[in-house]
Amino acid sequence: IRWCGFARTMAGEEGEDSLYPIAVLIDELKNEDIQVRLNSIKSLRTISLALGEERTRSELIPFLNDSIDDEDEVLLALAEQLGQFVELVGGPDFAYSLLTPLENLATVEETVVRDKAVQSLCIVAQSLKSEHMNQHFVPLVKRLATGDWFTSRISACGVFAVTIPKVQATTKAELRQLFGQLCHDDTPMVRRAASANLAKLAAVIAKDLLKTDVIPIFMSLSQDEQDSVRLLSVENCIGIGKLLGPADVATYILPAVRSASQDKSWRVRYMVAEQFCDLCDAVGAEMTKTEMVNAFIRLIKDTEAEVRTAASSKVADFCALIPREDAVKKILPHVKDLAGDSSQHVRSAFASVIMGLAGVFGKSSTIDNLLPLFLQLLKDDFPEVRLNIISKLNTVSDVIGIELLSQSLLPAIVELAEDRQWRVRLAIIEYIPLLASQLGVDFFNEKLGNLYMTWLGDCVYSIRDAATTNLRKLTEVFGVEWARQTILPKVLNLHTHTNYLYRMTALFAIAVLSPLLGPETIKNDMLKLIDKMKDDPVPNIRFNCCKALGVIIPLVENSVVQQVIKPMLQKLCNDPDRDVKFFAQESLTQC
Amino acid sequence: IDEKVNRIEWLNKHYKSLLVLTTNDKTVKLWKIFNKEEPKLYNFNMDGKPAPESINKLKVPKHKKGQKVLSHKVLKVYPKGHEHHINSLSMSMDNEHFLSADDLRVNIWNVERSDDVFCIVDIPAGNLEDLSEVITSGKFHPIDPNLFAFSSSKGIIKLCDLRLNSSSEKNCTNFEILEDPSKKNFFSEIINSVSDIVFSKNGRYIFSRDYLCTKIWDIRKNKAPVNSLRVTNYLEKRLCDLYESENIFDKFELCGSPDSNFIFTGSYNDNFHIIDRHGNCNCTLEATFNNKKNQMIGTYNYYADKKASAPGNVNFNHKILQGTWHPTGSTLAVANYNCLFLFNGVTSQMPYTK
Repeated sequence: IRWCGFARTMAGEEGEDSLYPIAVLIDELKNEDIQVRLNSIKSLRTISLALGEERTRSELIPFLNDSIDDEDEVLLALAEQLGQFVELVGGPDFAYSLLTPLENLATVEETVVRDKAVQSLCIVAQSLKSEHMNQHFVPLVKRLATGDWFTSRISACGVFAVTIPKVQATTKAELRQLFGQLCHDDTPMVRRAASANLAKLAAVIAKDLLKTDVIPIFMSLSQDEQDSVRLLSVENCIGIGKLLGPADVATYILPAVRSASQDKSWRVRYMVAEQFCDLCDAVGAEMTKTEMVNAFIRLIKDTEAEVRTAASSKVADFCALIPREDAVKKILPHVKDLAGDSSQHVRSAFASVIMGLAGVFGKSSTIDNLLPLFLQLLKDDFPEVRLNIISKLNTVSDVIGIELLSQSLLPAIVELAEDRQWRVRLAIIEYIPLLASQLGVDFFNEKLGNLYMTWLGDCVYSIRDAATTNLRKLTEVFGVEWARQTILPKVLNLHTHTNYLYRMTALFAIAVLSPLLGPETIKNDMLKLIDKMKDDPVPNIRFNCCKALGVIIPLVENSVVQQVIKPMLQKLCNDPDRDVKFFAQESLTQC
Repeated sequence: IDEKVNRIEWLNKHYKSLLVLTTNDKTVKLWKIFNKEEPKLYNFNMDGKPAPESINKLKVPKHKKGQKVLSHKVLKVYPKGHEHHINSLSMSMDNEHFLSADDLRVNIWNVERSDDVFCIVDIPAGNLEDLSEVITSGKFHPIDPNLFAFSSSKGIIKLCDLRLNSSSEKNCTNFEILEDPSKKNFFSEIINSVSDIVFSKNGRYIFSRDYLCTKIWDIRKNKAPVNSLRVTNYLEKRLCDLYESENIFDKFELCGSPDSNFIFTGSYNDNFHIIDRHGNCNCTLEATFNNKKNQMIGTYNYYADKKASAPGNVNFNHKILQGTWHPTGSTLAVANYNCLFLFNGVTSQMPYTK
C-alpha cells in the first residue's frame, strides 16, 4: 500500500519505477503458478487503488468476472476481497457493480467459496441504496433461489435475511414465499440451508407474520424425513422461541422439543441433549419444571451412549435451573446410574460435572447422595474419569467443608498419588497446593509430606519437575520458615543419590526456592551444597550448578558474589567439558 | 500399495460437472470431470515491454473465449480411513455421504470433509490369523438414506439403520439361512461366502451372490430368501478341484436392472447370466468376439426344468467377474479380461413356462 500511495502522487510525473510493481501484480493475476495468482488476488485492493474507482468498475470487475473458472483457493480469496470493495468501486452508489462476480461465485461447486461469496454479498447488500436493492439485488436473490443446480439454491438461503428489511411490503411477501419454497425443496441440502437460516429470517420479519409465515415452515422442517434436517430444527427452537410469547412457545415450540427428544434417530436426540439448557431457556421456567425434567430423564437413560454422554455433561447446569427439591427428588435417583454406566465416555462426562452438583443439592444431600458417587468415580478403571473428579475437588470442599472431604476422600487421593499412570499422579501434584492451603500445615506434614518426597524422587521426569515447581507454591502457602525447616533438609539430601538424575532434582529445587528463601539461607545451605556438587563426575550436574549460580547471583550481596561464587565459576570455566565451560562463562558475565 | 483402482462410484448428477469417487487399496479420491475453457488472454502490461509510464497507461488484461477441453482434477482425497484393502464404495442417496468398506471396517464419510470419518462398523481384529469373518461388500440403500447393508464371508448379510445407534455391529438385522450343521462340509463356508450384494433399484430386495448361486432377499423378511437361483450349480461336484486351483475363491459381482426385475451376474466360459427375479429363467450369454454386432444371442434355461444345464468343458480361466447395467436403460457393459462388451437388451417379455 505504501508504494501504491507513492505511485498515485506520481500520477502526473514520469513514475516508471513506481508503477512497475503494480503492473507486474496485474499481469500476475493470470500467472500459471497458483501461488503467484493468489498473491495478486490478495493484493486486489492495491491494484484497484492504482486504477482508480472508474477503471475498477469498468475494467477490473469485468475482468475478475471472467476469471471465475479458477482454482478454489483463488476463488475463495477473490470472494473475500470483493466483500471489501464497496469503497473501491466508488461507494454505495456503485456497489451494485460487485454483484455480478459475487453471484457467479455463489454458484460454484466448492462449498467454502460459495459460503464466502454469500457472506460478501450480505456485506455489500448493507451498503446498497434502496433503488439498487430493488433493481439489482432482489432479482439476484430470485435467480439464485430458482437456479437449476442446487448449489445456487443453497446460496440463496443465506441472502434472504439481509434483503427483507430493505424492501417494500409487496417484495417482502414475494421473498417470504420464495423462501418457503426453498424449505420444501427436493434436495435435502437445500432444506438444510433453509433451516439453518430460518431463525435469522424470523428475526427480521414482523412479529404478526411469524405465526402465519415462519411457524408453518418451522413445523414442517422439524418433521422432515431426513434426520439431518430435523436436527437443525432443535437450534431453531431456541432462535424462534426467543421471538415468541409464552403462549405461542407452548403451542409450537414445546411439541417440537418433545418430539425431537424422542426422535427415532439418535443424532436428533443428541442435539437436544447438547443444547438442553438453551432449550430450557427458550421454553421458560414453567415448562422446564415439568416437561423438560421428563425429557432430561429420558435422555440420560437413552439407549445410545453418545446421547447419554451429551446429557451427562449438562446435569449440573440443568439442575441449577429447577427448584432444589425437584432436583433431589426427580433427577438425583437417575443420576446415580450414570456413575456406573457401561460407557467410559458417559462416566467421564458425568465426573467432570458431578462436583458442580454439590452446590445445587446443598450440604446434606451432597453428603448422603453424592459423596458415595465421588468415591465410586475416584476408583474408576478409566483414568480420565478419575482425573475429572480430582480437578474439581475444590468446588466440593466449599459445600461440605474440608474436614469431611479429607476424611472420606483423602485415602482415595493418596492411592491416586501412587497410581501407575503418571498423568494421574501429575494431576494430583498440581492440586496439592490448593489442598494444602485448605487443610493446613500440620495436616500436610502429617499426611502428605512423605508423599511429596516420593514425588521428588519419581521415575518420571515430568513428575519430578512438577513437584519441584510446586515446592514454590507450597512455600508461598506455608511460609519461608516451614520451607526452611521441613522441606529444605530433605530436598538437599537428594544430592547424595547415586543416580545423577535425582541429584539434579536437588539443584533444580535450589534454583526454584532461592528467590523465596533469603540470602542467609542461600549463603549457608545452598552455596555449600553447590560447592560440593560442582565437583560431581557427571557434567550435567556441573553445568546445572553454573546455571543455579546464575540464578543466585542477583539474590545475594556483592561481597558474597565476589568471594564465593566468582571463584567457583572461574574454576568451572576451565572444566574439560564444553557445556560446563559455556554455562560457567554465561553466569560469570553476571558477576 | 498396488496401483490399481478397486472401485468407482458416480455421484448423482446435481452439479454442472461430473463427480466420481475412486479408490485403490487404501485411499478414496473424489474427481471432477468437466469442460475447461482454455482462455486466451491479451492486453498485458509487461509483455517484454518496459513498465507503463503513468497510471493511466496501466492496462487490465482481457479475455477472449477459448476452446473447451475435457479435463479432470482431484477435488478431495480421503486418506487414512482403512488399514486393510478397500473392497467397496457406495454413495448414499442424499448425495452427501458415502461408505467405504474393507475387510474389518465400514466407514462413512461426508463428501465435503476429508479429515473426518465415522466408523460405523468395526470388527475387532484381535489376532489376524484367527479371523473368522471378514466384510466382503457394503452398499447404501438406493432410496432410504438411513439404511445400508454389508455382507460377510460367513454368508450373512446385515442390514443396519443409522438412526438406531452410533455403531452398527450389534444393531442390525441379519439375513442368513441357518444351515443344518449335519449338511456342512469343508467347503460350505467358502461357497456360502457372499461375494457381492446389491439393493434392487426399488429398494425392496437385496440380491446377493455367493459361489454357486444368487439369492433374492426381501428386506422385510430375514429368515429366508425369497428365491435362491442357481448360476453354476454344476460345479457342486467339483469343489475339490476348484479348491486346489483356487477358483473357488473367485468373486463374482452382480448388478440389478433398472426395473428391479433382472439380475446380471458372471460365471465361467466367458458366460454371463441375466436372471429373472421371479425365478423363472436364466438367460446365458457369451461375451466373446464370436458374436456379430446386432446379432440376437442368448440361450434360455428355465428353472422349472429340473435338470441343471451343465456345459461340457468348463474353462476356468475365462471368467466374467464384473459388469454393470445402465442406470435407466437396457444396456449392459460386461468386462472380460481386458475387453469391454456392450449389450443392448431388446425389451420384449422373457418367455417363461409356468
